[in-house]
Amino acid sequence: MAHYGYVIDSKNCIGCHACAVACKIENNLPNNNWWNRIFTIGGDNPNTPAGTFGENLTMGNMPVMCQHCENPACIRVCPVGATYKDAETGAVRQDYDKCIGCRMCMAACPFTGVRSFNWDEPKYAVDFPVGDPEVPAHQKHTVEKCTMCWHRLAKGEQPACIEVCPARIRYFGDFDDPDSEVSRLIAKRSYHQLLPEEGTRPSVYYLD
Amino acid sequence: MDKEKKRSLTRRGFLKSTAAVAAGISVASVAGGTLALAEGNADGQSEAGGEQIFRGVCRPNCFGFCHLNVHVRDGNIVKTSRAPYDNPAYSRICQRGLSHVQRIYNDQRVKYPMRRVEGTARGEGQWERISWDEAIGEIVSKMQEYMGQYGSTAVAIEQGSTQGCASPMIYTRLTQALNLSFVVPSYDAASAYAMSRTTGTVQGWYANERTDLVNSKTIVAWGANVTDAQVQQWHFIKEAMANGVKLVVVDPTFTQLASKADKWISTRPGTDPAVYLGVMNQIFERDAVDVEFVGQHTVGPFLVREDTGKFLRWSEVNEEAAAAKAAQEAAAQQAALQAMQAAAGQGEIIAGMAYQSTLEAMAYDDQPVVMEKGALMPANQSSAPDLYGATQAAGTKCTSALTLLRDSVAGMTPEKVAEIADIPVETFLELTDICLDGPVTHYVGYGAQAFVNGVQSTHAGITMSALTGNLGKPGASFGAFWTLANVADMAFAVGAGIGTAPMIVDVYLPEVVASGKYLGEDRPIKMLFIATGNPLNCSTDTNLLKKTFDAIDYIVVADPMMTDTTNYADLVLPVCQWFETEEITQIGENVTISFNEKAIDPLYESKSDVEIVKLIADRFGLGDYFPADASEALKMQFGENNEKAKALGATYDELKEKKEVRWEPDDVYIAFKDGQFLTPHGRLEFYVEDPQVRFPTQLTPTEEDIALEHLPHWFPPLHAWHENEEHAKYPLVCMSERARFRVHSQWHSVPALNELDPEPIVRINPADAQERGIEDRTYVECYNDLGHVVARAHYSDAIRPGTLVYPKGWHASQFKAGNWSEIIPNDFDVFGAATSFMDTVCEIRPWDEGSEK
Repeated sequence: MAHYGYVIDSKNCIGCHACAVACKIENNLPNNNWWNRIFTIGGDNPNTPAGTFGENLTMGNMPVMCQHCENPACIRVCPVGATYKDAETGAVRQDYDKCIGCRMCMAACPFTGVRSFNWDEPKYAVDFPVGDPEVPAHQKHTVEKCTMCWHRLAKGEQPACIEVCPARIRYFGDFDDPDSEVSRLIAKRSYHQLLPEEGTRPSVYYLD
Repeated sequence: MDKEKKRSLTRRGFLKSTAAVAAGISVASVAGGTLALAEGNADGQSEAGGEQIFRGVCRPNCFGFCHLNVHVRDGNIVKTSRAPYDNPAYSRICQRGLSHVQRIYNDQRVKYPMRRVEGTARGEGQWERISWDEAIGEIVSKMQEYMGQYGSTAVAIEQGSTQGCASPMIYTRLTQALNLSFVVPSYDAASAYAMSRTTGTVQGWYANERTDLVNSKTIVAWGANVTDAQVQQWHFIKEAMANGVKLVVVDPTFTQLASKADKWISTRPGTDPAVYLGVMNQIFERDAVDVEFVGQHTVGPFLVREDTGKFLRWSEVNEEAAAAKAAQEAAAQQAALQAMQAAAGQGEIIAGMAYQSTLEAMAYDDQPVVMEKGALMPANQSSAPDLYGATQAAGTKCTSALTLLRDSVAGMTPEKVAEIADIPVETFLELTDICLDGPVTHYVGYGAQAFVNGVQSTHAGITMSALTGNLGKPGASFGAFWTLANVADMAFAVGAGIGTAPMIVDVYLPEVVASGKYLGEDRPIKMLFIATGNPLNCSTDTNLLKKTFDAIDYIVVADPMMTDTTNYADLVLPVCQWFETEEITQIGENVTISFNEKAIDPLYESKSDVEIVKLIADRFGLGDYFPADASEALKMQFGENNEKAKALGATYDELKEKKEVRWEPDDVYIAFKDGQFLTPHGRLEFYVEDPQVRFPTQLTPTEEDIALEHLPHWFPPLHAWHENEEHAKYPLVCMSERARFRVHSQWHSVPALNELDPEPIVRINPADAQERGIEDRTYVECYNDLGHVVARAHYSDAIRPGTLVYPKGWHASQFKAGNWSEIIPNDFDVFGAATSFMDTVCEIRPWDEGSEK
């Protein structure tokens, strides 16, 4: 038993998207399918600030993926048990074979953009599977999202989005272990979680 | 995977995995060439699941040269991941490095040699597949035809900024052997040139290694968009800030970096030289000159002759020295003649070099003169020279270089600088205080030097840094950081013969081709062979360059990808991608020499540049003088007879084993450590005694130009200036940013990155947009007298009013119309002779989708 999760020092995020691209290749994601998204905190367009030039401009970035909640809204609504919490890791997982494509989980999840639905037969930029061979095949009419790279966890590795971060702001580990880097980080620094009012208790902590 | 784990892999494990690869191939019945992978690439490390891992070096020249694990499964590259550097600070990868799979297996790859279909025009995109034999036959017969009729220099080779030892160098070897013309790129060369003439460096940009940032009190980032252009470097700044270092960003645009900074100062574009000169003025005003540093490590105390502008020499004021100099010169002359005669058997060029090198080795050390308490003495004998003063000597007035500098910046008052840079006086004074409170790292990007006054920016900046002794120490440095190990045996370039044709700098090429003359001498260019570059995308004034190409009879382009330049060729050759050949890199920001393994065989019919040149050389009967493949080329450059490589433990075999060798003995590289510069006197030459152009062009400096060029000075950008007449017609300064999802013109067609960043955009301040009736996210046409370009407008308050900012690197086919380089003039500074990418202006209007392309 463990409670794996992420700590992201997002105030130092520069929005480069390395985490998203690493995830895309590692998981052989189909075209137009992204499990990690990086939102600009500022203006309407990517990479633009809030405010007026010359007066108090501010700009930030918010990397978002499945929050692997401790109390996930998605699991409660799945009619077939395709969405479930992995007891060993705390990862919220998705069984493509069971998924009937009803998208109830997408509706229930309070976090925009972390799930995607394969409306059509998945298409790929490269005509052979890339990334890790143990990633299951993507299927038409199924919902997908971040798996916490469970195939890597099984090999004792961290998710693909962690070590690639050029800004070095992504941390992963077991919150049940008080000596883990992630536990020490949130003990020492102030942090926030997304949409705490939803009561889902995300396993992603954003350092302030 | 860490190194320990790799070492623990057994031979048996390796065999098992290669067998799996081989089995996979036989099932998939891939061509035999790929099967050779299993036998030919025993360097790759195997991992569970039949995967092999090779070491790749990502080398688009973003400065990173990051080491990647290249994962190969069933003969295909399936992933790139971060590989460890010996210094973990450099274990890095980015969004581009992670997307290589989609760049390698990409529908824009050049798959086989192709000839433009007869009867179609260049650029129409009609291609006929031909064999390698036919392609090389045609190229060589064209070369021989032009060389025979117009002389060897009628054939020119042009290269881009690809960095490696095998790939770019092999074309130099061919150019030299056949005495072809060589076209040198001048991208971002203004800053390097200014650094070279003041510090004596030969190539590159020299600053302290970025692991030293933490030792600064403040980092001032000048025109450095680190958080987009060099995302791999941001962590150093972040870590320094976590240790209390302040970050100040001087940039017209509110970049991501500016958003993280303690202070952001938005200056008017192209005004950095004025700011530096103004800070210098304040240094003099506040008597803040570092007397020891300036006296011993710069030419500050050297007396300058008013009549010639040169340093006064000891032989000019001391009779004994004059006699000694005369005697030494006579002896040197005699020895040089003897050396030349001794080398006569090796040909005229070698003999001439022997003569010259002997003269230089025996040159009399005629010391510049300084004053110490008013008395003249040779500079190397004065421990406390007077920094200021003037005297009459050798029949002319002589003034210390520092006095000349002080007087020349006297007019750059805070008020004047504030007006030029369009910042409040208080802001300028605050920036001055920061610059004077060292140690400061001036982290310099390419923004400032992308204007016609770019040489002055670096020249003024490093001079400013020197005045307070803010160089050569931990935490104290000025510049960009991109340094050359210079370990590869440069004799490789001339190993098959030495050419005599002077190189043509790219900004001069249009004039040379149009006139058929180089500096007044007949030199028609009939054929152009472009390799490792994409000038029709990356250079300036595309329409002028196309006209230039139109005047050239035959154009060959060798590239892994279809680009704007291959599209305009007569014949295209497929070059293999980076991980399909071996390569060694010895440049960048990591202070290492790196080894890139061959992970897979070249895809399709592609070949390495070394193999292509070998095929050409064979037909000239020079095959014996050219290496067969990249490995052989690298062994020649890093062989057992390369003493530098041996001393470093960086011979070919050692590099292949270790993958990286650090070439700097210190843990942290400090540029110009202890104030030691590479100039003849070992001092920073902020006074340039003999200003020379970087490359000759159609422009010739006047006497007035030369007189001004000794010292850093202010003149505004050529086009991007609000006081110009053209400002009324074209009021917007059009600046580029190094794109987050591309490097130069590379990665432009990677599907994953295109999903994140689907089309060309231009960022515009909402006020400027609304004034012109431009709505957010609509297409706009940016135009000036040179051409136009259409992109989607993105409102952004990060953009300084009166400016536009566009991310670089899109190809012409990806625009609704035009491309960015169309509206950049080919104008340049006579001394710098370098591209000035941001020194351009335009107007902007809504684009009617129905308009013609």
